[in-house]
Amino acid sequence: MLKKIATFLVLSCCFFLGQPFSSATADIRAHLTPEAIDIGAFFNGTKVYVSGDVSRDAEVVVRLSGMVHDVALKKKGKVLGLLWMNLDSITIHRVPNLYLVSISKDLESTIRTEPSQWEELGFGFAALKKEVKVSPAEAGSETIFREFVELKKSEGLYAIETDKVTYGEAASGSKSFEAVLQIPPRLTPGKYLVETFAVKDGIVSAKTTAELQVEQVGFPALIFRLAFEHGALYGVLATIIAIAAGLLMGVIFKGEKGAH
Amino acid sequence: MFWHLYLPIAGSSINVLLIFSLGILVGLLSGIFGVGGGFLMTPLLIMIGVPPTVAAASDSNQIVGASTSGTLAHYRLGNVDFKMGILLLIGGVTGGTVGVQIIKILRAVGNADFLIQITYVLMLGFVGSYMFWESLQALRKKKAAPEPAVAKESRYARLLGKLPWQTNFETSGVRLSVLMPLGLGVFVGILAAIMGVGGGFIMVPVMVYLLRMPMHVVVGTSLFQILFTCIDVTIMQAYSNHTVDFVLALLLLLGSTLGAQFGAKISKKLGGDQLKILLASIVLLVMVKMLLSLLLTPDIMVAYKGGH
Repeated sequence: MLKKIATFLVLSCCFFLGQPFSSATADIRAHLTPEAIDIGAFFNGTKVYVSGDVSRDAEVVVRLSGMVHDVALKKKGKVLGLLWMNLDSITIHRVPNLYLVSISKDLESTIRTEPSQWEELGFGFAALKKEVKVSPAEAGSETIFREFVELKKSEGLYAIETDKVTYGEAASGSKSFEAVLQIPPRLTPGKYLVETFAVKDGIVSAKTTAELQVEQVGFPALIFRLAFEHGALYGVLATIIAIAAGLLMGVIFKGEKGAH
Repeated sequence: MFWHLYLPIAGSSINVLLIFSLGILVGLLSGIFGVGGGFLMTPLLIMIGVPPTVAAASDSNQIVGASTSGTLAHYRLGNVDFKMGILLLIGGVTGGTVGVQIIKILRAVGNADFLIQITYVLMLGFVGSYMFWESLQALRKKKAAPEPAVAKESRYARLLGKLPWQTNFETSGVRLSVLMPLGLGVFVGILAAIMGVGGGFIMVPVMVYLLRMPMHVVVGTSLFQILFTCIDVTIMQAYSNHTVDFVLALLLLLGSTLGAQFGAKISKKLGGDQLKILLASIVLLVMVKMLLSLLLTPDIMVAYKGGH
């Protein structure tokens, strides 16, 4: 019996950490608001809320991750032992363009006392490290990845935020929760994945996923299409408008001078 | 009130007031000194989160507006030598094309970026110091005794006189061989292409010291050339790299076209030597900034590839 339970636990662990699991399990129900983000002319980042119910003794972790792509980087190094320059080219393969994790205050303190448990759960940057590959391999991939995460963090694209999950009153075995994800202004259009995990006794006990669609609308979308589909025309128009603006300013100033 | 606009090509949003003020500042500089201001604008844009390639391309779009405004203002003041400008421009375009090929070869050989940055720092240091020292001397002399400019026949002047196709450049008040602006245009074009800068910084001292043009005409003529160089760059970038963010450029040029008009007025009020000494100080500041960025340990040890 004990062996069976152990096997089940190991299996479910692998299951939850491996393939995306699309259908919601009974232990957690989550709803995403909004379900899509429109980038209009005045877009300046936004907030995405995940709310729902989870069994009363579980913690909630929400993770938003973006499209996986390869990133070309330049490693900084010293030349002649004195001057810092961009030197070797490095590529980091299969990293998400956005990686945001929201957790509660309580979970953070648990993590601080037992960091290994957090790593095993597979939410932190250390877990992300296992998914990516750095080439060339001999480039000191540990350091490179750490610096890459710092670079992303400085842009607000990678973050693990605490005190972003709050719980309501517990009733009949379950409690309500609300998680907030701070979406940075530097957002690329595309499909994003929002995963909500219930964590109990150091393992993921349930998970639900939702898709977040991000697209440019209105004026930004128009400019973007023009720039990529009619590059030459776009360039010519851009210069003509710039010249017109310069001439207009000249005329305005001459008029002003004449009036005095 | 702080409101933001989303930049579709840069893929981020930006504070409108911040960009507008940046535009005014750079427009002022270009109106006063006849430089494009890319040296200042591009790093500042990168600092506030615009990708390097988009920053450089959108800045060149903006300079088209600022230099149109500046050229017009200087033209009204009689400060644009079109003949000289067109010759320099022809040379510059030729040089730019050659420079792009040279940079390809250098990149293939490796460690090109290192050479480029060191050369840039050294050159800014040399040009800046020389200009600063020379105009300081001139200012002192003027205070001491208003002696007339001694027509000392230097070896350089004699050499200039021997070149064929001597022509009068009325606006600049100089007589030179057409080979001079053509050749120097090629030289600056090559350097500008290699270093990835507009070339105003190199062109202004070249016109002052090697073509012996009066400082005010230099400013106007430099702006006239920058206008055409940046039209070319903007269209090329938009066509082949899709890196021109028009929303960003528009915000910048609202400020810079305004700044350029004021700049031209300020430029008129300042004497040639005062202009030179101020420009020299800015050149030296840029050099120190570049040197510091090379010497100080960076916060983050990796950077995105691309840009200059």
